[in-house]
This record gives sequence, C-alpha cells and structure tokens, in this order.
Amino acid sequence: MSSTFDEVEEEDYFDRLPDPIVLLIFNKVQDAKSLCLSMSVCKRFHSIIPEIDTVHLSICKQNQQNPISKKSNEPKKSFKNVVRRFLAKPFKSLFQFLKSRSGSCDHDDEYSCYIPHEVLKPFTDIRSLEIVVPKSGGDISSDLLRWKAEFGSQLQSCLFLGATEISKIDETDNSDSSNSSERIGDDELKLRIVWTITCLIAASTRHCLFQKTLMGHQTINNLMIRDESNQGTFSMNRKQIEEFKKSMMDSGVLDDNETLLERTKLPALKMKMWYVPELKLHESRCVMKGATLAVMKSVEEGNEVEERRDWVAKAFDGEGEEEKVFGEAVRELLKKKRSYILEMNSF
Amino acid sequence: MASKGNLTLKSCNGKEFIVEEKVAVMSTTIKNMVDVDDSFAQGVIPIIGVDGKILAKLIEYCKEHAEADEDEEVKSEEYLKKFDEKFVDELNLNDLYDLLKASNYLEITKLLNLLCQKVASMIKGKKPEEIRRIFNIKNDFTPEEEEEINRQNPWAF
Repeated sequence: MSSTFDEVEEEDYFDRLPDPIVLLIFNKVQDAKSLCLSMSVCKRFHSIIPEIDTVHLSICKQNQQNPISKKSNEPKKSFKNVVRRFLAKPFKSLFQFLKSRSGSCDHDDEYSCYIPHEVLKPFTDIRSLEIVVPKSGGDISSDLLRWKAEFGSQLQSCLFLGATEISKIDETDNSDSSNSSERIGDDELKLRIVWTITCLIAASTRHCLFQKTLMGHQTINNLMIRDESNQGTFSMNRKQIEEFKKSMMDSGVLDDNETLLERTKLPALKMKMWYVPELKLHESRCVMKGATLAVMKSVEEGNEVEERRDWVAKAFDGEGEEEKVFGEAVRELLKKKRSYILEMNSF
Repeated sequence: MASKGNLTLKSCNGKEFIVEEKVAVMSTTIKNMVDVDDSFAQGVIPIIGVDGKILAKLIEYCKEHAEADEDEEVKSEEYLKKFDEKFVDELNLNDLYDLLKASNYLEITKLLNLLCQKVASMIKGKKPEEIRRIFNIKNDFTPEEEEEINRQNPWAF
C-alpha cells in the first residue's frame, strides 16, 4: 500500500471535509490540552474548535510523549491562590502535587495543571465536561473502596462499596459461610463510618472546587469528576446543574472576595448499609471480605433509597475485570435482607 | 440486474456492485432512497462522488456489520471490534479522508464515528506543527496572530 506521506502534492486533507465532520472529529479528541494546541494549527481549526461540546480535562501528572513547556506564569500563580483557598484534607494529594509543581520548575514539562475555569475559556459551547483529578485522599488506605456521588446545590445521593480484602475463591472449600453471623461488630462499624466520611468529604470538596467552572460555563449540562484511580466519581446531570445554578443565583454567592469554603456543607443524611463479613461472588470467582454497600440520601430529597435500586445496582458496572467484581458484589449485597439504617446530621 | 433482495450500487467511475439489501441499507441515505422509491430497488443506484475503490471499502465494512447484526454468534462484539481496528489501521490517509467524506454523505453513522475516532487519535497529544505536517495543513496565521493565540493559550509552547 502506498503511503500518502510520500506524495509530493501538498493537499490539506481537511479541505475535503465539511465543518460538521471536523467538529465531530474534535469532539472525539476531548482532551482539553490537545484541543487548545490544535487551535493554533490554522484559522479553520481555531474557529471550529470552540464549538465542541465534549471536553475532558486532566489535572494529573501526564505521561506525555512530547513534553511541552510553557511561557506564561500567570495561570500558575492564580492556581496557587485557588489551592490556598479551596483545598481540604481529602485533596491532600492534589495539594501536594500542586506544591511540588510550583516548587520545582524542572518538572514543569511533565505537568499540565491549571484552573479549569481558565483552561476551558476557549470552549464556549461545552455540554459535557469530564475532569480527572489526582487520586484523592492519601488517608484512604483501602484500594477496595469505590464511591459515587450526585450533587445539585448540595449532596443528593452518594453510595459506596468497600471491602477489606478480595481474594480468589478457594475451590476446595465447600462450606457455606452464608449462615455465619452477619452482624456488624464495633470495629467494623467504625471503619465503615470512616469510609462514609471520606467519600462524603471528597465529594463535597469536588463540588466546591469546581463551582466556578460550572458558573463560568453556562452551557455545561453534564459534569463528571473522577480521580485517576477511579475510586470516586462525582457527577451532576442537567437537572442537578440547573438546581445548583438557581440556588447560586438566589444566594448571590460566588463573589471573588467571598470567604470561600473548602467544601460544600453536607445536608442531613439518611443512610442504608448492607454488610457481609465474607461475600462469595460466584461469577467473578472471588471472595470479598468485609463487603459493605452503603447508600446515602439527603433527608430533604425525600425519595426512599428503595426507589433508586436500579441506579444503585448498576452504579459500578463496567467492562473491566475489576468492575465486574464490584458490579456483582453490589447486586449480591442488595439481595441481603439485613441492612442497617443510620442517620447523620448536617456537617 | 440484481435479483430480489439485492441492490446494485454504481460508483462515480462506473463500477457496479451487487450487494444484499441488508448490507446496502446500513447507509441511511440508501435506505431512504429505497423506502421512498421502489424503482431504486429494481434498478441501479448511482453513488455520486464515490469511486469504485472507496465504494468497495464501504461495502466491505457494511457487510461485516450487517452480518454481525443478524448473527451475533458467528460475529461477536469482540470480532467486530477487531475487524474495525484492522479496517482503520490498514487505511492510508488518502483513503481515510475519502471514506470519511463518503460515509458522511451516505450516512453510515457507525463507520463515520469509527473514522472520526481514528483521526482524533492522530491529533491527540501532538504539537501544532506535527499536526500540520501529518495532514498537510498550511499555517495561515500571521506571526502577530500566532503570538496572540499562544499568549492566550495556557498550554502554548
């Protein structure tokens, strides 16, 4: 097959494509940095790219093949302010990451890290925004914890699935452990409370951190913030964003001089928790120790946990090996009759 | 002439292809033609602006996908994924762009998305000058404009 790279004729391949296809292509690029760079390729790209509706922004250390350094120091400076103002403990690793960035210029090339609000400025038509932040909370020791949270003006619902250990099923062991006591002990309960607080604080910090981005881009109707390791996923859909904006307008907050909180206050919550000391997952051929599923809803929301069973059941589904294990665990835990109801005050 | 259940597609350079209707109607444009006017189903459907080489490629793609839609056992999702990968990897830039244009005109959405994804992956992570070189794009900014753009761009180099 002859390669077109060798052709002498200088023809711009993009000349063959109408604008809507070029837009479709850039909507698939998604990566904010690549999009920004592509804008300086030619006038046509520069005018089309701002119209894209899907952007993916990574605020993490990147493994770039082509490190690109930058000239301007402005964004860095203002980002430091943001850091000072916003970052709470669950964001410790992001904080440390940012500190190391501003401290040593040698590593500038490896990072791409600015205020989302600034970076996203060229894109005036974003509908769907995905942000990836560094792994949250050095304090969360468990890699076997996954959470999901949905926010409007405040937390609407949050759920997590946690375990203390996952191992392959022991084929020789035929004993049925499901009859063993499933009552939760004090120490186990304490750990679950730690997980709960960790998830809630990480989620509400994200909500606070990206408020300005949301207000600055009125077209966004789908926001997702996840961390590198996919431990926690924060999301807001169209309805939730509308509710959030309305409450922001009403309260008139978001003034630059406002003393900004490090996280959004959490409403009073109702929580339902399922716990199995040793959960056998036959499809995934795994045993999950200390398997815990918890679903939290704002008391004001009113909806019973039960009504969102579908959302809960599918929360951690996915293609990967790990997702399959977590997906099955959620479905198995939901089948258990025994559950614990807890209530939490606003904090 | 095509037998029942088959359609004849004619490229702009006069090459004729007899294909099963289920394959041809992967293209929404052709589906609409056949639905509206029965005579197309009997006669020859001219595919304007698409040459024989590109049309053959389009048919190859639609055939695999139409068959997969019909029989998931023989052509599983995984099989299709591999086929798609191989399909785009074997294209040179010239054919890739001709196919993009043709799949847009013929409204073969799946293929259009696949090809756009391919081009997107070629753009991702590249510097402007690399992108210009790959796609033969002329830098039409004046030096002043370029400087202004780089100034605004937090990721400028």
